[in-house]
Amino acid sequence: MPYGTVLDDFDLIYVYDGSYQGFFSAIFDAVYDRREPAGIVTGDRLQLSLGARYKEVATSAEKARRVSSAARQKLGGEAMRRVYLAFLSSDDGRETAIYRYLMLGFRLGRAASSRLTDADVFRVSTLAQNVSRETDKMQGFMRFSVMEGGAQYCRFSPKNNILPLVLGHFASRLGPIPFVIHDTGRGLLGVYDTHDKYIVSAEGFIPPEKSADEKSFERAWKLFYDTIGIAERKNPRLMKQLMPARYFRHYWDIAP
Amino acid sequence: MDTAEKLRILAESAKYDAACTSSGSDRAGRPGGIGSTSPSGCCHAFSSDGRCISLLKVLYTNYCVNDCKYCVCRRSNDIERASFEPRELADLFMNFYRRNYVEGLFLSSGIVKNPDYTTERLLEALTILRKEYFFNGYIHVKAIPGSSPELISALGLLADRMSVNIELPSESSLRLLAPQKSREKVTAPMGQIRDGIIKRKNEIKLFRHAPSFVPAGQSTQMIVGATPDSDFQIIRLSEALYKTYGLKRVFYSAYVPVGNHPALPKDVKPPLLREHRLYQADWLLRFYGFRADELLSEENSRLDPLLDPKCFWAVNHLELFPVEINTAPYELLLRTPGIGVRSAKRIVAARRSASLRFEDLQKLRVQLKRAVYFITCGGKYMYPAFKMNHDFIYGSLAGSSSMLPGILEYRQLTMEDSFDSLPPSPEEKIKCLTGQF
Repeated sequence: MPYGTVLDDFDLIYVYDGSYQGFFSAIFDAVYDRREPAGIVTGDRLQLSLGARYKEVATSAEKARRVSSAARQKLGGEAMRRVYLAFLSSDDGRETAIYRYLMLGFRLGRAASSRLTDADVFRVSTLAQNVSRETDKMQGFMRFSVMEGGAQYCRFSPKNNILPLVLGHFASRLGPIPFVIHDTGRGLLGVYDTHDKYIVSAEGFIPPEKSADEKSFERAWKLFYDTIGIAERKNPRLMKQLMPARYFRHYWDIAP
Repeated sequence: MDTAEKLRILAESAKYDAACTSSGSDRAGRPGGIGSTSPSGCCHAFSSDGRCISLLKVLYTNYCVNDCKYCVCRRSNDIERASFEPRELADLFMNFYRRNYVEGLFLSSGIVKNPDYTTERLLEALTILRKEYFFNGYIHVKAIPGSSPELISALGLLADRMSVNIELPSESSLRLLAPQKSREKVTAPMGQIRDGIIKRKNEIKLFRHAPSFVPAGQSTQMIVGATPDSDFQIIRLSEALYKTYGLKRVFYSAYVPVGNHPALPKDVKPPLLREHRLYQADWLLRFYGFRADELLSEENSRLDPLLDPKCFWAVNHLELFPVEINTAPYELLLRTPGIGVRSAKRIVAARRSASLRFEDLQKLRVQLKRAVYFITCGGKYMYPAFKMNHDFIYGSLAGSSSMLPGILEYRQLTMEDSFDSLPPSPEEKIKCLTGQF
């Protein structure tokens, strides 16, 4: 609990807009209110409870910048990367864990990150690990279809909000090829137009038609996939374990 | 013949090569080009046998002038044959890559006409990819034994990884089953690639744009179970290869009966457990500071089927245990069963700020199931009544099913193995641990 914390009889829950900036603005407010927040949540996850008060946080780029640059200086870049990854996770307690992790970091500096026996440090590092693991898996398992006109389209529904991460990965990889990645679970589109990348709402979006020779490449891939397995070593259990169905729900026609 | 048909035939012939990793190269995307690589590699699917599919693994052609008895492509084998055109292969590959089906290309080939002619074809395909399509992703290419050094150098400038397969662990086996190959023919290109990599390492210090040469290093493959060579011979050879040729990886491939030579085993199942144990031993050589002669010896030349090589080493060196988590040096932590490279590093970092208890070890991702017999926290065992005893620890470790890969049933193993007493049941283990034995 920060020094000089006001102790009174109600819980204060900070409500922010879901953005990374908004989250850091909430941390700023909590620190300057000198009060341990009972929770930091987004509006849609808000549950009204008895004896709690709510404070709507106004997102401010300036506040966010001040918190994040101070934290970066105190905890180092690697820790901030971990914080960002944990923030993208779908875990409900992520904000509170990150808040406490940062407060510990302001006290201990870089040493905070190696304190894995601390519950919050452990939580943040586990969440970050989950997010980065899902990103790695998705980057391997996602499949694009080439559309009429040459742009590519990919549909996926990850557990965590990893769209910004995979968007960056494919934008760097596919250089001159424009593409759209559709997070069907969250209704978001990641768009790359060969210059810029941005994330927009998918409301009203209708994916364009697949190009004419798309089927032949899908078939060729399936043929390759079926050929490459060695019959004498067949091990469907291991295969399923390494390739959980949830990653493939959108690609059944080309995946096993 | 259409491209898909060729793909089927040439993937069929390539599938016995174990190497399919895309790791070791770190290149971000380049403006105008397509492709990037990540140092940890990436799997894009897993085949029906549970192996990672990372690269488009195909042969350029499966016509071959050699007659290696263990190989599907041997001249005397009656199979469908096909051959790509360089551009045909490049186009197919780029179409797979942009759709994110694969992480890169793994191109190998049978030998048509002669080694140089074959290497020139591979070179042509790679040149189209790199210079015309500006492909910036991962390429693994086989060096064909016997091709001229200039061609191998040229290939090395375009590829991320190169490999020459040793195939058989001893010279005598090679003479018997691959009469056209010899150890020298294999090691010559290996030495050349090593020298190329070292040269580039020195050049980069002098000028920043020194052309990259096989940045992901070279690898090789050995077939396991086709010949009577022992595990000790195999891991000693691997150790020598890592040392003298600076290899990044040695792959082990359980022999799948594809030949009919009288010296080859017939109607056997591929020795998957043996392959698995060899990989475990290989990891110990590369990351855990073990030497081959610590794991096995002339007399004891076979990896234990019931225990992984690290546990096996530990139960035979009980004099070094238990290790105290809060004080043991990193090297000894690494050698403790249940503690891996990452958890050993976490322990060393975490114990600086607080003394560690058994509850904490779980958070540091230590496999307590295995580690519990070998460690103390604050001078105490997890179960106070525990006594160091070789047979008991051996039995408990061998009895826990998670020790065995899903590829073989535990019961099946005990039948074949001269294992005197069955390991204790879970109830017996608990009794023993709580001191009621």
